[in-house]
Amino acid sequence: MANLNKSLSYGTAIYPVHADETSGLVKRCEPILSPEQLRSRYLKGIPMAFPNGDTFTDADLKDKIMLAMNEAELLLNMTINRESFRQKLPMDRSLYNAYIHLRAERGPIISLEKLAIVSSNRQNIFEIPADWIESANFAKRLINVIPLMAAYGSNQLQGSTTSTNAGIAFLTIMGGLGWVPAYWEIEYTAGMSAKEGQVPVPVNELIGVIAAISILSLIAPTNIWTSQSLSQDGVSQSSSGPGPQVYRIRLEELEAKKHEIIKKLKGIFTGKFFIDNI
Amino acid sequence: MKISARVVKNYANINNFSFGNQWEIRANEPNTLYFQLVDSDLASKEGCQFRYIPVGTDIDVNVIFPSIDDDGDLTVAAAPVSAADGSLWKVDLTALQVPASGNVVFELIVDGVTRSFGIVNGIQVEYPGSEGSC
Repeated sequence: MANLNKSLSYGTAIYPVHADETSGLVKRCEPILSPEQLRSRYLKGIPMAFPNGDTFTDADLKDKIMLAMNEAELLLNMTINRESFRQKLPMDRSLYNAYIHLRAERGPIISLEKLAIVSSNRQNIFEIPADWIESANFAKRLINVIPLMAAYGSNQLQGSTTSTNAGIAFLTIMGGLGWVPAYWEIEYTAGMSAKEGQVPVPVNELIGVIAAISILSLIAPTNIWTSQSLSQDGVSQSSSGPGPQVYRIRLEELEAKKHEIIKKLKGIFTGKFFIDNI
Repeated sequence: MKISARVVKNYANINNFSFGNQWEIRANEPNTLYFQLVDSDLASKEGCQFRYIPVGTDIDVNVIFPSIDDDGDLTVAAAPVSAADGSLWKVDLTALQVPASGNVVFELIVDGVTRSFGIVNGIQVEYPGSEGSC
């Protein structure tokens, strides 16, 4: 658990990105998929039993959902629920000159608890006042330090640990360096929903699709016969079917859908910015 | 002995209730959540589980609804439902106690010995009227 009393956030929703207010007429967020929802949304008409008598119980479906959640987090490189992270980022001169352009490992950033220069023995050398930190691009994992208010506006920084503007001079001196690995330390929370326990509907869709693929790919190979025939005393009957290929088209559709959702979610929650020394 | 818990729904009395996968509640409403302690080690291959009745002089059960935020973490003391069946317990949530959807953790404290266990995705909380963004 984390103490989030010092949090800095942009104040808008994480999904839809930058939504300031929503009417509530459209449902876009819901709790994580339940076994009943998994069955009704993705597995209608699918016999959940195997020829040897095994069945998919609700406990099995719950387990599949848990596995799918973890797979979705890996595929998206994002945590579904809000989690707390701490990492160190290098001091890169070109990024430094671009208003200390920092990109967090995890995103979307929901809140920033600390941005500081921290030594290797974890001593806090200088903590950037929250008032200088631009939070508008947190959804894209971006943190910028824009101390324009301090330079041109009020010199009073409320709620910050730095009482004067001496930090600006300090930052200017440090700007002369080219590269320092592990320089900035950031503490932040990241996840795909600012409301704990709620997830965007497309994320639930992805979890459901991954779980359904896993379940169908277990059931399909047990349908082993492609044709069966029976004859007796000159009378015969035969039938043929797809055999283990029974859910091939469905699986292909789900795979395509999975890739499409991943592409869209990555698109809205990440951005590519190129800043370099020339 | 591996103690766990099962979500109980539609509770009428100790002989009349059903099991569920998770509690489904709406935020900002008072709710009573029932559960049964079970011994997972005694579960059959088909998934049938045996109830577990703790024995001791001082028995407490806490239900923890986790949160990443210190201020959002919710721990509620459970109460036994009936003296006739020590495996059935309940927690009462006020309208102001809103847990987050997800895992639920239990603490069974018998004569100072604590056992912790959880239910994966044990609760679903809806927010009627404010599900347009999150």
